[in-house]
Amino acid sequence: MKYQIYYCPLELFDDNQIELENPRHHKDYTYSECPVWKHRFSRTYVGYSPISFRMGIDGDIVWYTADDEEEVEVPLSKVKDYYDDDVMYFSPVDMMHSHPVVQLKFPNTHFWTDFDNEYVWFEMLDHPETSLNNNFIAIGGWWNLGSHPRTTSLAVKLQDSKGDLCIQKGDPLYRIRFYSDNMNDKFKLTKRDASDNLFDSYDKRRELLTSDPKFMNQMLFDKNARKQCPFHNV
Amino acid sequence: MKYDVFYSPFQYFEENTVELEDKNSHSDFYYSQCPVWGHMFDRTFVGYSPADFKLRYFDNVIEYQINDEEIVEIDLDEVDEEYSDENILFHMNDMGEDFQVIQLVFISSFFWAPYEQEYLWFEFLDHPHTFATNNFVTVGGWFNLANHPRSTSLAIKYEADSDGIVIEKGDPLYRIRFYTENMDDKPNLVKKKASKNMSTAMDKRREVMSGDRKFMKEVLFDKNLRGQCPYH
Repeated sequence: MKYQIYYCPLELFDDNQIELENPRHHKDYTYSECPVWKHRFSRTYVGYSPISFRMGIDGDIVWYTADDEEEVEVPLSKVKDYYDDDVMYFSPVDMMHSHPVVQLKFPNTHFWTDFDNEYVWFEMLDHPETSLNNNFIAIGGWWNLGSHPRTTSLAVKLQDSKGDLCIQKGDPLYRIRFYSDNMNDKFKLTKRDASDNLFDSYDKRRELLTSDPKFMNQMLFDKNARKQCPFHNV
Repeated sequence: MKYDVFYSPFQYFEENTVELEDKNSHSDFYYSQCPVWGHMFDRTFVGYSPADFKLRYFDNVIEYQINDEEIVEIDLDEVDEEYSDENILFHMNDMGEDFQVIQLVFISSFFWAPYEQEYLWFEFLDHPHTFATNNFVTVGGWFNLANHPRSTSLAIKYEADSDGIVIEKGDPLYRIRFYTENMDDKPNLVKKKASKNMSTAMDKRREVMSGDRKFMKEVLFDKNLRGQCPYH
């Protein structure tokens, strides 16, 4: 079976790309003929950076530059609970570690599937090359997208806090995968504008879920959460 | 549902461990409270190196060493198609000038599930630290382990013109995941000695499958294959 999944980048719609990697990059190697490698490769999408970005921490100052824009400096001592702008979000608590954590907002993307697909899990997975090429590792997670279509950002953990996080436009930053109850199913990921309705219902659902952790766990992880609705078959 | 899966390292049985990462090492971070991170974390096993290992390529020679054992030198000019010993394996096609791919056999383990478990996929997944720490990226894959219990080795891809591979005992090298029909199921991975019968059955299965690619794909990926057997 083949599932349709959709994604809508919230910013930089044209430059924000999530696609299957080109198998030609691997064709000279023996493993490219291995069926277990190929099966997974053809079901693993890669998210590429829509901009060039650099950030670092110098003492009390968190600084960053996005493309050719002016450098932004944030004094940590002036941030109370969290820092949030168009480009990044962080909690000062997460910046005190030897491996600070920030959320990059420029890859923000809304993912959803057709309403009939009740059981399609979404995974945000790190990319194996970022630890060396970009000095970070993406923080992942997974849940049932069929119950909870949502927007994701890219949370990253710096590997060397003394070095800069450095991203060039087009760098692979993370991987996206989908799962159903049959690992042999296939998924087609399509870029598409999301309607306001999708965002409205996402906000309402989040409000409900965050107020009830048990219900949140059911929606995110239970296989038959939607079937329990008395109007499921109506 | 909770289910058991077993693994049996071929070498370094005691030191070769595949286990869940310690959650405490993340507890100070905000993301550790996120349920979607926690759910995945609780189902992702990490394989750690049972030995120190160094490998480098220079002047068309591969040189490697395990622990304090004698250094092994392999002159690629003298290798025909394939090289293998008890520790590493490679094909000459994969020993190009840019990137090279070799299999670390000393990491090998045999994985299997109870026979009643008909649908249990196994994934061999890279570990995100290795590119920066050890200078390689793991080559992975997935298949239905319930149909084809088998041994895995660690295939790694590295830049030929680099400082070489350096692994310290205890370094995280790869990740292992399992998938059933329900992503909420939870695997319990147990180290256990595999019987000789299992290896023999794997060898026979491999022989049959490698002679029939269509059947191989059915065994590896089809969901209801075992249900099709008339004696099921």
